Amino acid sequence: MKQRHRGAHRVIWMVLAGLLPAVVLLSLVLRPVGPTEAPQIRLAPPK
Amino acid sequence: MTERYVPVGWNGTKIVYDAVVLGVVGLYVSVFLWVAPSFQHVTSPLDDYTIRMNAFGTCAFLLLSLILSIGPAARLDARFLPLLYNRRHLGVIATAVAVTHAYLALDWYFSYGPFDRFEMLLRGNTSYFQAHGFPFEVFGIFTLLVMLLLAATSHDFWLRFLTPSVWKGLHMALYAAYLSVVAHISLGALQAADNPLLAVVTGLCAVGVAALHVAASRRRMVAPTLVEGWLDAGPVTAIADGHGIVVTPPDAESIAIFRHAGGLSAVTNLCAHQNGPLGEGRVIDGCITCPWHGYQYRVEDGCAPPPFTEKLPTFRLRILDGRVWVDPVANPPGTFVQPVAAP
Repeated sequence: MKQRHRGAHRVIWMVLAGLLPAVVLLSLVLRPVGPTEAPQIRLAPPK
Repeated sequence: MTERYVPVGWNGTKIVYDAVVLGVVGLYVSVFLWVAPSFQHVTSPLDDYTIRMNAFGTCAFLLLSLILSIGPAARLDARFLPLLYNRRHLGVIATAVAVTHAYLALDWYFSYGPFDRFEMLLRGNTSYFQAHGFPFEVFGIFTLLVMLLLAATSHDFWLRFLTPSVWKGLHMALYAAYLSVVAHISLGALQAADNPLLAVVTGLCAVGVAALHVAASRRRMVAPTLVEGWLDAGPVTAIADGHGIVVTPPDAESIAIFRHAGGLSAVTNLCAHQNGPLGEGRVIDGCITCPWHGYQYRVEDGCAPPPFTEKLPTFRLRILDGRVWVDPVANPPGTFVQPVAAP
């Protein structure tokens, strides 16, 4: 792998090593708990 | 390694590899369809269509995690190299599985709205400012588009046409696609999942893939000593017969040093095919063989054996007090350098 690709690869995965678990954990924290109604889904107005 | 472009350069190994992958995918989907109904929550039973969609979706995610793990795993342990040889076939199969997942989702969730199904997919849900109910499909669309682009350009024709450097850069888009698919699962299926298994598997895959990449990249960070223009590559005895080591000069590409038939020779560590790490390969029939796709180069001049025409830059070596020293100034590609006799 070329040196600049290797450098980019290293930086990208250092960032992803933080981002990937953060996305999973954040989504679990934001999960609705207990009995809930289905959330309101905003629909675009019909034409 | 072929002289001319063919759609797929089939050989026995590739046929077995693809047959095993397709068998495993078929087995996974079958077992999922059989087992998943027993994991349903009584208050939110899943229909057959959704279970089928989940079977292909989870299969595509696991395949993508495997594809991204193969490279660093092979760098950390050579026993994983056989998985690397046909990784592109695995990528194309993963794309086909992801397309099936997308088709099932589109057919089931977006076919009964007031607009066309593709319009429904993009305009049906605009709740971008809430986690629960977020239109997570956009992350899936992005991942699928990247996978389709990479599968379409995976052939050697595109590698030559775009040059290895641009091709490699383009294929690094898979890293963004992986982040996107983790967001797709996290904001989609994980929000509604009653069973913690999906969260555990998604988290383990995400952390595992990232940890492997970080570990593999840290392994290469030791800088060799430079004395009077020569790089210290370590003791001669560290290089096993038929194998190589890699040294990386400051601000330059890595150099691979091989021992073969009682002599040492050095070439660039970059394979002319896809910039694969030649130093992690072996000498087979007097030729350095790239661990990625088997491209071969003669040890003494870096030339691919006829009828192939690829040439690698070579480097001068010397041995002092049992240590190997390499001149980091590259010779023009294909330059003959007499191998240095190694004790």
